[in-house]
Amino acid sequence: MSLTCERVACLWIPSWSLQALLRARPELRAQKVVVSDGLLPSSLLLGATLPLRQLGVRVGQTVAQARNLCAELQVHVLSDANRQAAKDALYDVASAFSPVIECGDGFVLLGVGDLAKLFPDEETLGKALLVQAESVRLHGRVAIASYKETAKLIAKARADVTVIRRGDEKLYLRALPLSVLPLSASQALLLSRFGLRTLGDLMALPRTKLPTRLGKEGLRLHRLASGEDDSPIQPTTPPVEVCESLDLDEPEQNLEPLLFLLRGLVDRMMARLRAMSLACGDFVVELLEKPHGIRRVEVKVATPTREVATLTELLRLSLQAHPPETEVRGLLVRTMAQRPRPLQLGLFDGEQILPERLMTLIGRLQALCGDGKVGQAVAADSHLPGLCDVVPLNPPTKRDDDTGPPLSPSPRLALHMLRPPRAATVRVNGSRLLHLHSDGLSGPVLRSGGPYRIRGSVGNEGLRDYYDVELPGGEALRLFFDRDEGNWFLDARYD
Amino acid sequence: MFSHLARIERPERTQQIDVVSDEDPLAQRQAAIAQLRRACRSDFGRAADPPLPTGCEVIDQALHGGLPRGQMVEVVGKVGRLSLALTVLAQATQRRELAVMIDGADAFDPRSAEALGIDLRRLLWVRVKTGNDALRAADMVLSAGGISMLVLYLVAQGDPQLALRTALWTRLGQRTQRAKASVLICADKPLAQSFAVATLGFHNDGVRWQDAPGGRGQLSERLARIEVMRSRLGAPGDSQPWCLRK
Repeated sequence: MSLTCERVACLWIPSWSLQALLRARPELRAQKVVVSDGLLPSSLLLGATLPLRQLGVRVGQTVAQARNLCAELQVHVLSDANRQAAKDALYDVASAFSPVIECGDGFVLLGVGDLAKLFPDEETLGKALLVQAESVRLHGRVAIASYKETAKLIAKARADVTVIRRGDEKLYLRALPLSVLPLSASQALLLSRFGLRTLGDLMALPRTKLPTRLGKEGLRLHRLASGEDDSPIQPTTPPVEVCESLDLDEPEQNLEPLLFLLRGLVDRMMARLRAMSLACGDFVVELLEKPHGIRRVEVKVATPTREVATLTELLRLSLQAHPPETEVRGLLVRTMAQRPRPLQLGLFDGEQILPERLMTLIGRLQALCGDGKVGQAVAADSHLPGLCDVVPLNPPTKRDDDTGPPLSPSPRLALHMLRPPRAATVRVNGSRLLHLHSDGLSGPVLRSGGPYRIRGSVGNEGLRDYYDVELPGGEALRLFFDRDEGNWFLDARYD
Repeated sequence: MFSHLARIERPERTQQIDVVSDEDPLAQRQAAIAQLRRACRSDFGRAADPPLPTGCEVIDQALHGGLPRGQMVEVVGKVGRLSLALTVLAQATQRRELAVMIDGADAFDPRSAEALGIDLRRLLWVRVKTGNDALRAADMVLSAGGISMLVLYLVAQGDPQLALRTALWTRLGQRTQRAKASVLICADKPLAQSFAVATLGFHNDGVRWQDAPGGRGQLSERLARIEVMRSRLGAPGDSQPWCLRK
């Protein structure tokens, strides 16, 4: 599918490979680091940090040439995961402005023809795009033009924001160097032999005679240089989930350093979600263990949130419960973006616990008490009394117009359950209970009521006869006779 | 008329300023509302928060209005503790507030609770193994804030030293005060002692039966007598009878 837009903005990220690496490893920014397409001495440099550029290291040199200029430089190769994460982040930035997006390595094109009601002018829009890109740690340039290739060429060459009115394309393109065009090495050599240096030089050549010298591709380059390429935006499929990863230089097993690194990943993930005005729900952490194992830890988030501290705390509690068994060589965090849950606060309502704090509290309590010990109690799906399950607590907001069960008009006798039921010995005369003996409890039965026969569920086992008994001293108990097992059990105490 | 709004603009005049993270606008808004509430209270001279009614007239009389906010109340004895705890929780959840029950005996029955009117969706049930864990869990809950009702059910706890852990009880008392929560402690014998604002003793007064179809008999009522063992809320009255229907 292709879409035609009246105006197209291009967000261009210079030194794409380097920026993608620094986004994942911001601590490398001040170090002497190069990104290359391999680790061999003949590998070509794709980017170099400022300290190296000041020493004369340039893109296009080989690793060996760079080492001659600076012996202690670090060589990094951008991993596919980091490249994809940066590309997805770029897509997220664009998706905050327009649904028509074409995303590639180091650039994103978006249709902005109908954003006049949101932004007073295109320059403001361009600046907003740059700010949004900064929020996901990508520093870019923006050009807005009528054709996507024109916008792309100008964004490559000019800093900050450039707005090109319709018809002014040639004025801007004329002075740009030929290197902004997507030329192969042979084409670049040929054009330099012709003595061409700028797009204006190429533009001045007669178009009809170009195919004889440069072939069909020459015509395309001429149209590009003249700002006449009107190919439409090819929309890119949006990323399914938000994913951030990190490869460790040195394998690590201790939890604290890993949590420190994971916080950075969560931070980057949240920056992307914020750019989309979305929040983080349940997320998965993958620990790439040595040599080839992957340990997945799922972190449940009761309410979608954007608070990094809450997510990090939940992550800490989950990892403390399931620590890595071997050294970890890489980390990955991924989540499905969700809509944040709105919460309306009221001046006259009592103080409420924030959903994020409640999540953290439940996580801490689970770490103290164990899994399945904290949450909302629900009666089990059985006719037998006293059985219950625990499900995650997700309380309705105070303003939800729902009501719970009706309030009992007067206090009622509650049952103190004995879990598990205690084995008991009961002396019986016919249907009368005479004496009860159980763990720490023994005495004659003063009065009893029952039996009340209950079956767990239709067709299943679990047939029980329940009795209420009174012992000396006013102790009131509930016990049952399990007809399947033929044993007596003390089930609950009336408290 | 709007002097309290002007005070929001001058936080140096307010006594307490909430520290919240910059990245959380919701927390900032909640802090602003809390600050506005404090400003309203100081400008319009509102007295201390009223006590929370328990839903039991006898208990409310004994506690001079109900469970005081920011204080711990202890109930001890052999009968009626869980009934009172569930009644209090039902009142809290009916007010659409989130309540917490820390259960040291794994004794909570959701069916009994629903029959009393507890909205289980608004009740956080925490099952702990030991009394120490119960106190630590209570500390976490009160530190989180925003919880108005906490029940600490420590019946049948085997730890005889629990009453002697004064440092923990002191800390819990301070947390309760800061969180302005009502904390009800249910136990066999006094544990919080002087750290609680009142201690009520529930004494057994017998059981009533009624005939059921088939002549099988059915337990219908349990009778208790409530005695104020110790109270800083006012003069303790005579012991009162309390009838709990099944």
